[in-house]
Amino acid sequence: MVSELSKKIKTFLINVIADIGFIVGTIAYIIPFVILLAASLGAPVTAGRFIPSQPRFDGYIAIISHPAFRLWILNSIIFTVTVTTGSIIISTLAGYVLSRLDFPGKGIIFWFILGIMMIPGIVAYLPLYILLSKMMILGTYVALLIPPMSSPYNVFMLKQAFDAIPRDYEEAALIDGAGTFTIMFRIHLPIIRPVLTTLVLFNIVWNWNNFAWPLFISARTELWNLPLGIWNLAWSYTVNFWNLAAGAVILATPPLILYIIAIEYYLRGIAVTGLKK
Amino acid sequence: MYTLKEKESKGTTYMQWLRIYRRKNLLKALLLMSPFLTLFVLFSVTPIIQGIMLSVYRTVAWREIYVGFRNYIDLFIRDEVFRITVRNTLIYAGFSALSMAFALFLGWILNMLIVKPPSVKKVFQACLLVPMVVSWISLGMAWNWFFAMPFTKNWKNPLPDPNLAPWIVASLIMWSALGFNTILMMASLRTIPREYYEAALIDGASGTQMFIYITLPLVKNLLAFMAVTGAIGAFAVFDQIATLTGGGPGWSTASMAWYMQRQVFYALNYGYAATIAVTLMSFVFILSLIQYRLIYKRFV
Repeated sequence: MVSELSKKIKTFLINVIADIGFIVGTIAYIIPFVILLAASLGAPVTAGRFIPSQPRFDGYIAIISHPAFRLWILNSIIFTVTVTTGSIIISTLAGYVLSRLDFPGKGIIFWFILGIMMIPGIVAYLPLYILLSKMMILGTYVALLIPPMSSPYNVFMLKQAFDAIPRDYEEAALIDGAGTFTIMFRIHLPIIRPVLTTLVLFNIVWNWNNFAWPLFISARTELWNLPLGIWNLAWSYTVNFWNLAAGAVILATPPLILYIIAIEYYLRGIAVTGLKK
Repeated sequence: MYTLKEKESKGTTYMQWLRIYRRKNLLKALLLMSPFLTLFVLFSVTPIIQGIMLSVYRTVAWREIYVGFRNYIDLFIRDEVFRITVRNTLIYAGFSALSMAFALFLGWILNMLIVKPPSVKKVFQACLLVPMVVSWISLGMAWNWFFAMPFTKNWKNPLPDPNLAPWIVASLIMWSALGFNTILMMASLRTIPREYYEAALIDGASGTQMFIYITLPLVKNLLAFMAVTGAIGAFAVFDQIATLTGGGPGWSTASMAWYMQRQVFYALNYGYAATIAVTLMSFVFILSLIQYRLIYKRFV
């Protein structure tokens, strides 16, 4: 009787602690977004108040009608779409070759890719800056968009995905007289579609949030993307905090929406491949 | 036996045939890989070699002057700021690696708990990954305001305090890594066969004992591997510094990557910045060697 009661109390206590843990954890992870949302509506968050006495939406209106804002959004979209598409296409080709074709020098190329993958990209930004200025393309879209397409990381991930496909499929196709391209597009790509989708989703988020590369390479303010623009606004003292917060909310929303829509892909991507940058 | 003889009779051995086959593939492979290889060599390999070469020069009056290893000597012996940035980078990397231990603990608990509405767990998991998808520009702004809130009567904002700020930044880096690591840990804990625990339960093991004697040895290698990966990632900490503190107050929160960027754009000291980049690279190289040794015993 007594032991049963103590067991019940123990279960109850564990449940209470777990509930508190869940609540605290959830708050710890969504509080930045709550703060931004509250601040963008004019709440004085630095005074510890989250509910504005008079909700105002002129923050959003002001930031959207900011003369450079449309350009930043446009640049962000251009950057995300171009770099993601380009990088995935060339990485798929390279990953396929490394996984399926046997040719001299393959081992060396693969080790180079692995080695460069380990090094944080920011290390190469200064020499790249000098290189691009010597090529006379600094401050153009070419310089902004082409170098980040070389992503050893994507190649490695796609090679792994291709490696996981059994050879039997392509042998069957080979006997039926299919060439390399037919095998690749008709057989291999449909099989790795889930991996490809996950990789594209992660790439979109990384490229949308990319801040260091545009900071190094955008010699002209016409090339700034949204993170860089918002960051620069934050240093000026003439901008109201609710305008700034509105900008931050607009910056955070597209990846969040994508994340909520495709949450299964993101969770699986981490669990299966350990995707991380 | 028969096929081998036939091949020999045609004058080509199997090895020769393999060599011809590989050479025939080379053209096709190079053609398919050429877009990637061009960009890779031009924009990934060349800059790193150039960076190493640049680190023996110094910019004086807009000209590059060869100074040998003097940049390195200055950096390691004279530069006080560099010492601070190395210390900070090590703190960030350490906290990032440490988050793996918390993730193991959290993942273990989350896997053990049977939550009544299963959606609660899903929502919690989803929340954990928010720092991974939201830009640090937004996050940094929000945390800056968070720490400025008056929590107690005489609360002092820790971010402008040079003694506290690096630890706050390190904690936030850990905060952002923790979610990702927890999801990863939960997945890898789920791969441990249930039978192990059932057998231990029959033998009368307690939860803690099961954790120490079954779970820990099985995930030890993955844990170490991911901790090193996290540390490597934290060595390039840049966005977080840029948005949370801007390296300040003074240089108290600056990371090596941030210091390098300052040297490029504010001191216009390209050679010196390249020296910092090469040093950063060597740190990462050492960590990669550790990781390379762990790769071979990565899974269970």
